[in-house]
Amino acid sequence: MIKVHQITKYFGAQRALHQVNVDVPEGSTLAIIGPSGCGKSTLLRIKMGLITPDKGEIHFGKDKLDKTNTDALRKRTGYVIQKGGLFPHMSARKNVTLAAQYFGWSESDISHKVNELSELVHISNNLLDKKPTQLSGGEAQRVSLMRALMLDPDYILMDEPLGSIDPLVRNEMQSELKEIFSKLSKTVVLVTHDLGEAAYLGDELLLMKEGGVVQRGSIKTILNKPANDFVSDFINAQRSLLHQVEQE
Amino acid sequence: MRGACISLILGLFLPIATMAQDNNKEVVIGSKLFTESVIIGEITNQLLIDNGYQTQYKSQLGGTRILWNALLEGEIDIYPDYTGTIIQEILNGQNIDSYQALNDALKPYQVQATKSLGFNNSYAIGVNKETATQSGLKTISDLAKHPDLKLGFSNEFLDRNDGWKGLSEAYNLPHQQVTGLDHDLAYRGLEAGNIDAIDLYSTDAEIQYYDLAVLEDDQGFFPDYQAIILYRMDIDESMVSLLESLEGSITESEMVALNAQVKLEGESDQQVAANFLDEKFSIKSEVVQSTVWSRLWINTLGHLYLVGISLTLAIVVAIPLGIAAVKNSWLEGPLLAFVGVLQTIPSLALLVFMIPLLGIGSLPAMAALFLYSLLPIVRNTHSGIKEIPASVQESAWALGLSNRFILRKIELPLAKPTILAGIKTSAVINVGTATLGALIGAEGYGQPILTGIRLDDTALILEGAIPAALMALLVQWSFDLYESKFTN
Repeated sequence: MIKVHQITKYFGAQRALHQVNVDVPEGSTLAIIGPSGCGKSTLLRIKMGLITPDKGEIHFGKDKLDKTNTDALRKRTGYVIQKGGLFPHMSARKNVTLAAQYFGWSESDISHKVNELSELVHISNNLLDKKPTQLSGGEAQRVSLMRALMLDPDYILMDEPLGSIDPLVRNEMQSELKEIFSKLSKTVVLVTHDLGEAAYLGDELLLMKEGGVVQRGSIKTILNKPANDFVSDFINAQRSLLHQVEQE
Repeated sequence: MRGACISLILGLFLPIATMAQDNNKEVVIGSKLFTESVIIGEITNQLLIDNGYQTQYKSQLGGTRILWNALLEGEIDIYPDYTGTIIQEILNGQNIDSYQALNDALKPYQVQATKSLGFNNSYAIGVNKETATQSGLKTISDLAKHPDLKLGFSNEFLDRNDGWKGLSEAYNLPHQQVTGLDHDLAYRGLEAGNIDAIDLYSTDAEIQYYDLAVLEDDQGFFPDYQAIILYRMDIDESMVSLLESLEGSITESEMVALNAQVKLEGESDQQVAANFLDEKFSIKSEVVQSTVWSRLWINTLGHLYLVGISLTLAIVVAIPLGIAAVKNSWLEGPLLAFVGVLQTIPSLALLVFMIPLLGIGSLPAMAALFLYSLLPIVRNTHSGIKEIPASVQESAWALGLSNRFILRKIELPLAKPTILAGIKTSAVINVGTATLGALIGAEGYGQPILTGIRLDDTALILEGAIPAALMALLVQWSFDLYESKFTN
């Protein structure tokens, strides 16, 4: 369980988050959604300990995140960002195995885990020997996911993991991600701006606006009982144009 | 910060300095950066060698300040100078009217002087014969009537109390167009008509060669400049007697002739000094004429030594400094500003600043080169790491890796091309700047360049300039080759 308690963060005078409270139950997937600048990425980065909040606390299970245990908690958390953030000077394989080597895993444990993960994310062995620049966007995100899963973390935090992937591959990867989440049954927080993706991958949705939580619930609740006009507008804006064209 | 940096640099260099001093117990002779001083130094050197002394001759070191300070510091033991220079420049124009009075005044410095070697080499003002005739110039007083004349003086003359400063006051000279330039180049400027009047040493061989008119010092401004030899009081007494044996041994016309043999007839300083000693003292000294190739080899080694050590130390110090600048935001601004300021100190000034700390020779030159090499490497290390995309850095942190590990495995490898480019810039600048080290007695390609300028010998200048340029290109090429091979 990840518990976000009363988190407030300002960048100068700019409010990024204001008294945000979120619980993510063990083994479930929470999709955080909202327009650009609503604070969803900041919230994720605060959870990773990449940004220190002005006020409030983050708990991973029983552990409260602070300076002393940031590294240990990061080790228990996989993190995937929009363009992968792969280390450009290392092969894909080295990217995946670096942390395991750092933490002293044996070679056989490492290769065992790599095989297991490459099967899970559908990456072939010869792709792993390429440099990140030689990979397509989808391949790079698969490698990035492998890297995040390598240490077998309890938590997975993803910030627009499919944000820069072209639609066909994106569709394919959405269903793969769903499959992976259900196989691994880890606690996942996924940030996205795409309502469809959030609905498809998240057990629950959290809608944010201007640094605060607007509504939380299943996709059905949000569609049928929007908390306010903002939620309705956000939903309508995301309904496919194609759908409208068909109706006309 | 500044204090810390200076003590760091001293810490690096002082052990080498003391080591170097312990190793040579030989007597060290110095000379100034003009031919007459080099010849007298060479005569002294050969005389001492002939009498069984171990010597080291550091010729053409620079001006009075450098030589005098080197003498006080014990970097050199002996060097030739002139009474007027010492009285005006070092003893602040005290009223000294005898050699006894001079030695009494020098005693507190633990320095003594011989009596005159036999000639007076006074300053004088020279103009072309045509200019003299056209403008009716006979005396220095006549100069005041021609304020439009362009004057070109050696830099030391410009700054000295017994030089332009005092002269212009004594004669009320109104000239505005006064340029500082190297004495040996001044003759060329005069001949080419770029300047109208220059300062002369009265024993310069060129006065006759260029057929110059020497303006009479009608108010008797210039003091006597009797040639003498200064020595530290801690040298052997028998050595002092040898130096004293040179007293009265060279007349003014003989000195002009010796200067002419070197500057106009192209004899080597050593050969001219050897001939003189043979004639006057029946001393046969062997002059080994070095070949171009042997000189080239020695100068190349000397240059590589300067560049190699200073650059290596700079790399060892600058990369950690660059890293520290990225990691500590309070340090970033001040540190980058500090190494930037170091870079703006003119190289000559920096070289001279090093003398009180490290003496003369290759060591202070190395220290100056080290300081110059810092900026490009510090700056590139800093920017190389700073320019790594935030996403890469965050991904590394997110894996739970330690900062140290991230630096070693991710940041430094990614910044490597930028850091290498910084090292390349430093190396190329370093190879060029190292030639200036010769001004304070450092080895390397600067030596033939300096001698070439002194003797107006283009071939000799090229003997230093071409290999220095080639070395710079070679450095550039090897870095380019390395970059293209290993960074792709």
